[in-house]
Amino acid sequence: MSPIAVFDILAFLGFGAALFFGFRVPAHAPGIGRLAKYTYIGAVAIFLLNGASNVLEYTGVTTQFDAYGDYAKVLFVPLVLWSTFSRVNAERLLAAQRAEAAEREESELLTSILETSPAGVIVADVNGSVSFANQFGSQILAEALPGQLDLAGIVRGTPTAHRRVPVGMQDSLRYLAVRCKSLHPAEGSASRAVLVLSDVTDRVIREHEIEEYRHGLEREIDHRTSELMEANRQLQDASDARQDFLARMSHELKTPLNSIIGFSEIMLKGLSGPLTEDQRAQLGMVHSSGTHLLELVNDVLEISRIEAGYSPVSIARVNVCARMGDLVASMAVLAREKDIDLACRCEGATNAATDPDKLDQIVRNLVSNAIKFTDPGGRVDVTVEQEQDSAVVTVADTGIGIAEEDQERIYSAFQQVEPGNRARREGTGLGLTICRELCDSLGCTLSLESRPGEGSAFTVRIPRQFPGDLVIL
Amino acid sequence: MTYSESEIINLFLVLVLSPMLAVGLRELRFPGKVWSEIGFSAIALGLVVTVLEGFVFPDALNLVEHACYAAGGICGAVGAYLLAKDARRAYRGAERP
Ligand SMILES: Nc1ncnc2c1ncn2[C@@H]1O[C@H](COP(=O)(O)OP(=O)(O)OP(=O)(O)O)[C@@H](O)[C@H]1O
Ligand SMILES: [Mg+2]
Repeated sequence: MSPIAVFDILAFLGFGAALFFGFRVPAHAPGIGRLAKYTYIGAVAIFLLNGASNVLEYTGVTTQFDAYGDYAKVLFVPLVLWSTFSRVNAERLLAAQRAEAAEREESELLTSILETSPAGVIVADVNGSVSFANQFGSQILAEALPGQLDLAGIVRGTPTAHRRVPVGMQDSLRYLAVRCKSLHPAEGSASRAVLVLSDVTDRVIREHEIEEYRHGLEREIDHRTSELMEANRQLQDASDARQDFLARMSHELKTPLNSIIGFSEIMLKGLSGPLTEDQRAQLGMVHSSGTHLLELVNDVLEISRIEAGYSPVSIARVNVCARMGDLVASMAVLAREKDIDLACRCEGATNAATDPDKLDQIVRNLVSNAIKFTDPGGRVDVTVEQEQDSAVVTVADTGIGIAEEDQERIYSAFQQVEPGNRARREGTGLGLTICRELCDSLGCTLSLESRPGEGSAFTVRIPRQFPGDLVIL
Repeated sequence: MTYSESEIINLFLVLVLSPMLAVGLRELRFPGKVWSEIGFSAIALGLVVTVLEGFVFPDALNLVEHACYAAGGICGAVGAYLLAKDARRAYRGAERP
């Protein structure tokens, strides 16, 4: 077989295959126009026809179709050209349609955003003429009274400005926050700006309310302050009166009591003439009752003074050991009268910054209690010890003791424990109350350990540094 | 000096329309584009050579002409195959996303 025949057969098979694949392209496949597909198929078919006529010629079957093949070839190039340009046009059209659709969608989106926006959007130029207004924008323009909304002024102002503009009639006044953004002016036209108006009426009203409320509060505070100052002044007056009363009371009560005690003493000593036995006994009762009354008055005055805060603390460096030694010595007579062994024991030098007179008062109360509530033949021990940062004074006795349930009660004013069948001992029940108050004012702690029938031990812990403000008189 | 009328028309069409076709094809993107272009060029060459063989080297150029058609057919087949394959896949993809 000649090479030409081989080429023709190859061409025939090639175009045949191309035709086959051409038909397999789906007519509606994206990117390929239907027209393009069939013109392409047509072009290929032409060469298939030409190849077929050539093959027939070379195999010697017939030369009859030769001319058809030649003329068919003439159609090939125009068909390919037609096919190509129909596709080009189809794609151009498609692209244009897509672009148009996208543009329409975008503008629809923009329009719906603008129209549904709760803010008014207005486009105006420097002359104040409006080229666009959304729904709320138009409503505002309609509502605005002449001169209220100076669009030209706003557009001429700063590129982005915030301001608040009242718009509308007096009874339906609206406050608008105006934001302004100028646009790049088109060639030859007046410069324009987008104005965004939002209704801030609620906010403005609330601000007014808050402002009023604040003023009201200020007035209220002023009022209350003056009331308080008045109350304070009255309190001050009352407390001045109380102090005055205390001072007068102590004087008015103590002076006659002192003369009762003094003169009964003089009479008891027989300085104003001899007394009968009865007179002596009765005068003795006058004297001891007077003394008792004086003690009571002193206690009441003392506790009132402390509670009213008129008991100034004067702090000094105190040698607790020496001080307690002196105190115990001064009370030795009292103990001896009742046949009670009273002793003071010190362990090392103990110093503390505290009020010496008040400390004396506390311990004197405790010791006198201990003597009072201890039967003759018992002991009372005062011990002074040094702890980490406090001086500790303990008054221990071998007396009747205090039941667990009474140990807190005894510190309350006028509270006394009435021990079973024992006669009630003299006293008012103020001693421990005073002790506790004094301890509080000195920053000391007062504690008790006791067992009924065995004795009691009261412990005072005095901090070595006075914890409160120093009042040195 | 043997050439037929149709050969002259073809020569004219190839020379005039091919540049236009080149311009149109520049804008298109499709699979197997290179194969299709080679196939078309081979056929266009074949059509030119048909006319030339009437003047010089009749036998040799006749052989070249037929070889060009064969090449055009084969390249066209490959281009059509690639186009069909891709188009069918895209079509199926469009139908069943
Ligand atoms: N050392 C003690 N042993 C037993 N009981 C005590 C002791 N100290 C106090 N008490 C009890 O606590 C009560 C209250 O004591 P407080 O010193 O306050 O009052 P008072 O001694 O009775 O009277 P005043 O001290 O005012 O003269 C006492 O009545 C007593 O019952
Ligand atoms: Mg007492």
